[in-house]
Amino acid sequence: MGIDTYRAAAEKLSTYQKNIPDTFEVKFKVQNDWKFWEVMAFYLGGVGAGLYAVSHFLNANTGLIVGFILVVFCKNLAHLLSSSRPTNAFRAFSNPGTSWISRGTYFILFFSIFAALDIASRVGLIHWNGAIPGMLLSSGAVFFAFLVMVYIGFVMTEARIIPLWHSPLLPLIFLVYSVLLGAGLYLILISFEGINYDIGFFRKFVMATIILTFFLNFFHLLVMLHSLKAARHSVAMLTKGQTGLIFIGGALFAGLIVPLGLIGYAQIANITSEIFTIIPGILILLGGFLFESSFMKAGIYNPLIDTD
Amino acid sequence: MVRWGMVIDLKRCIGCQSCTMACKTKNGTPPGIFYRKVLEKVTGKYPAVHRVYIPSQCMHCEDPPCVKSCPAGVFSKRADGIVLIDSSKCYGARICRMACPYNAISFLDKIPTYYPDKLTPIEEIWYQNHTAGTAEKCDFCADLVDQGLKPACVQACPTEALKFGDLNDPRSEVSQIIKARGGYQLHPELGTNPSVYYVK
Repeated sequence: MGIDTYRAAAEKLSTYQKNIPDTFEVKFKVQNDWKFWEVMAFYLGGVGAGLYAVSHFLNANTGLIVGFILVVFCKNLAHLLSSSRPTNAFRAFSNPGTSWISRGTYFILFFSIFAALDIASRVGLIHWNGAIPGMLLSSGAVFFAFLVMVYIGFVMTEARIIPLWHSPLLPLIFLVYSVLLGAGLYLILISFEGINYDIGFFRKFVMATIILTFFLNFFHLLVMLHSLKAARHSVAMLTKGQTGLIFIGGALFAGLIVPLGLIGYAQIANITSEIFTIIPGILILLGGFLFESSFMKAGIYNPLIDTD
Repeated sequence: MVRWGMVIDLKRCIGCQSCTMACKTKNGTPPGIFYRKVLEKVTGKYPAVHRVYIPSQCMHCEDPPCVKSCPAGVFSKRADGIVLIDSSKCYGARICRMACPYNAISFLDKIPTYYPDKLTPIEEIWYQNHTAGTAEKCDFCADLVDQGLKPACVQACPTEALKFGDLNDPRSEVSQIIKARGGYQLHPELGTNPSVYYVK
């Protein structure tokens, strides 16, 4: 081996050695196990399931189909891309007794079956004798969409070492956020399809969901401020620096407050222009993504022992 | 029934990392992967400054969160309390790393080598037991324990700070030390009931 080989080896070793003091030190560490594809999987699942539920209540077939595609194809694809060994991913069905990821995999499976049959019967591909089978399928699909929305919150509460995520509020936050994201995408869809129903009612629903989301976020951060040190570090990360800019400026201001203002203005001034549905819809979707990515980034491990 | 456990005497630990190295050698872990490690913490203010060493590893909990949270059933618990891992089932969800309150699970994104583009002869043997993209952790050297031996870290500790034995046997050395010196577990509030105790 020449001198260059040894030099390359020494450089490579030094990169490992750089991480070693970090490994042996008692300090707050940011989680780096879940990154972009996990965020995408959670986000797309939330948007898709939320859109499916919203579209069900508004009887909009386009929304049902888009929601189905987002959950069944896009979310699952993102999960596969996030997995280090996708050929083993079928094993996610192994432990539904105690694992929320495993339960979620079943929820997605049952959602796929119920939603596919529901959509097929709505577009006339399948015909049932009487209204009851169609109603059962429809209710089943919405029930599993609800579970797809909420299970991510339970998955994150399993992270005992990350106090920001280990909170009973999380399933509720993810449920409400998913409904909001679904509503946001629905606002965009109706802009292209044409508004042909009482938009006023839907606007009020979106505004109420935005307000609820905002308060849940606020309340969660408030609770975390009085929790463990790692949680307080997470709150500091979410309110300061680059992550703070993404969370406060992107997720809260651009993703919640601006759409609330635009929709509220359109409602008061009785404006039906598509601009007032497309822009809030895009902002809500963008804000939701920024919320999930900053929330993921701010997951800080609680050290094994007190750092003081 | 036997319940294997460990007592770590923090008064005796000198932070030499012999246990860390014994573990790495026994399990042939790649660079950057430690099933056990001795954490260091500096406490106090000058001139009364102390360096504290805290050996940490899988706690082989009685109610292990990794077993519960893993969707693929990678983790299992033996009747004698040892929590085993079958990495061949792992697909890389990595929830185990976050569910474990003791930060005891390592994840092998890839298998790095000590020298570029070439495995040394010992690495060729070692890395046959590791698969990239899977989780790994301490198994209390279950193969050695089954032969009536002690885990590699316990055997290697020069100050005998690590003691291994049956927690269910009140006459065992570990039970006696826990009783006499008030052995405590880390994060008992989480209800995991670890099999690793610490004494000061």
